[in-house]
Amino acid sequence: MKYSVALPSYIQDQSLEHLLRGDGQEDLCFALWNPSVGKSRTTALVNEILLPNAEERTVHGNASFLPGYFERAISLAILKKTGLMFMHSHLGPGWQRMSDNDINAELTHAASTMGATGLPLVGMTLGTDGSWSARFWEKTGSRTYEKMWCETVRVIGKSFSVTYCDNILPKPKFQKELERTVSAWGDNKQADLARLKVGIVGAGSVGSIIAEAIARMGIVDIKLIDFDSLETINLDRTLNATKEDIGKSKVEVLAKALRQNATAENFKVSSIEFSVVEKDGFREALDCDVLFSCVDRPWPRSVLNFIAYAHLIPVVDGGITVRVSKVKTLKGADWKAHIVTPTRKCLECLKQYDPGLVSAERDGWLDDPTYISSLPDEHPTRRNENVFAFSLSTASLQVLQFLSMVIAPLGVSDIGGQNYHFVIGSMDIEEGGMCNQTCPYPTLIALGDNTGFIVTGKHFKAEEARRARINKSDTISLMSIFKRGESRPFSNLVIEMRKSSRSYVWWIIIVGLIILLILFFVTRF
Amino acid sequence: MPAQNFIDDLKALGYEPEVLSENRIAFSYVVPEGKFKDQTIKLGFEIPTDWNLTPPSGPHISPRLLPIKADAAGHPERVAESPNFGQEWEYWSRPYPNWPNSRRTVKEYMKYIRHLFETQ
Repeated sequence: MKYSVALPSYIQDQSLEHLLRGDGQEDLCFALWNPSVGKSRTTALVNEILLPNAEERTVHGNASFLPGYFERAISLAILKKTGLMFMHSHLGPGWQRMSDNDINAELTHAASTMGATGLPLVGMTLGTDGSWSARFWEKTGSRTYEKMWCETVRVIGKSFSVTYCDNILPKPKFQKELERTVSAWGDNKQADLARLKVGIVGAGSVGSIIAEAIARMGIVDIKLIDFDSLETINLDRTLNATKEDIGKSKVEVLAKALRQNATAENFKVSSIEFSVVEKDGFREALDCDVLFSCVDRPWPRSVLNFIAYAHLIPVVDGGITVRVSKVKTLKGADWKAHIVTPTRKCLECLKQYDPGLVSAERDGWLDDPTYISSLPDEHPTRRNENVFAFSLSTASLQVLQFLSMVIAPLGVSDIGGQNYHFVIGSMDIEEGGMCNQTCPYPTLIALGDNTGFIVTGKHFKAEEARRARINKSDTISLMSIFKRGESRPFSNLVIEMRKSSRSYVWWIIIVGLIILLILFFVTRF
Repeated sequence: MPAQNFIDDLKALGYEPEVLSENRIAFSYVVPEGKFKDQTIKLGFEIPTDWNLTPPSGPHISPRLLPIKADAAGHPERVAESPNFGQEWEYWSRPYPNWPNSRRTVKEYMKYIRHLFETQ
């Protein structure tokens, strides 16, 4: 299991104000956190700082807390069903190591914290430049607790910053292929960019282009999440897909291309053949630092919206709308890109999806051709016109939004939402803006797995797509075995069938053969 | 839990929901308006697991009031089978329009259900 911490920018501001003292001394405080458990990474989401009262800690160059402060903090953690975090500051910049006193202060409270809250104590140390180090104190034996260093500490909000633990995620070495890219913004920015774990949700026209772009820019770890298979009608828009790939999983086809085209040393791409609305796909998404939303359905968009707020993972979203006249002439085409994260408008308030349709999709209605055909022509679910050039431009806008957030040239990390109008060639910018007053998503910030909502469910079309690919693969395997192996011993044939097929298929064949043999002997004798 | 919140709020409105399965409920409902006015029916909902971020997709109704017409254009004619509730039920797929501008409450949703019957 890997570990990380994420905190909203307003929590960062509160922490800096308290912990970075003007008199050059260290300070400390407790905080509350909620878990966000992904497939292979657990993140502590900091959602409340508990500042000390005057008599609860002493400052003497270093800082120490009194038992009453710990007791107050742990009582609140129990009441609110959160984890407990201990924060303190050091007097230098960058990622911070721990002194023996630091280790002792945290270790001696690890057991009581785990016992009271059921969650490990998380320790964080702040450097003078706003960088953090963090660790989870996990129980590794009956009375043994060990610190598990966090790979990253991420601050999410108007700006986006990451402190990396270089021991776990070292700065990548840049190969010659990246010379021009690195020269655009420097080694340090490239190192920060390259080490982000980026998820692409939707491996269709926009997703395939975004994936190619970021792989060529040197991102080391990319996760592709899509359940679907390639069809002929995708070939005019899906980068790197060919006729030979029809019927294959979109993420597998894309991953193969990325492995050839990526410029990072030790490049890693994961192909996740699930929808983000399925539990497995959702947990994979939580392993990411940033997610690109390349989907066009309400349910996955609502899930990504939820992740952006509850799990503090910025979502770079986009969308294309094409309007065609009744006589099939182009009336208009618009596409947009924006980032959703706490302190920015959410996808629902940006009207990127209709929550009224989420349940309809969850119940399978949006995949029912009869239901779809009964919707009005202009209904967003019926609109499926698209052109490679439109996807290219949308993908470009989304990648540029991502780069602005991460690289923040001249300190500008929020360029606002962009809306391009193809027919007149103009761009609208939606600056600033917060969610509507009644929007529930800001109330979910940093609640993680403790929101009480379950946004995932069974996705029938995804299950069907995976089954179809397995069945096709079994048929091809069996056909190739029978073509090749007519003169081989029967036992070898069975072994090969077991390796290559689903167990039910070879069982049916074996049982069938046995029945035939029995009938043969019965009729003969 | 979202389902329990929905059930509690229905009870607060005076209904007596029966839990048929984890997120599926049904309760007695007297149609207040429209061509089925004063009829007592069973009204069923699949409560979304993320209620009230999203509303139910539409009511399930027993006994069947209208002919099954899954390919009809929309309200008031589109009526589908309701396999999860059973053969005596029908399903009206009626996504709530503009849920973000509503109060996102059960009371608000039941007003919408009333409107659906009013406009039958």
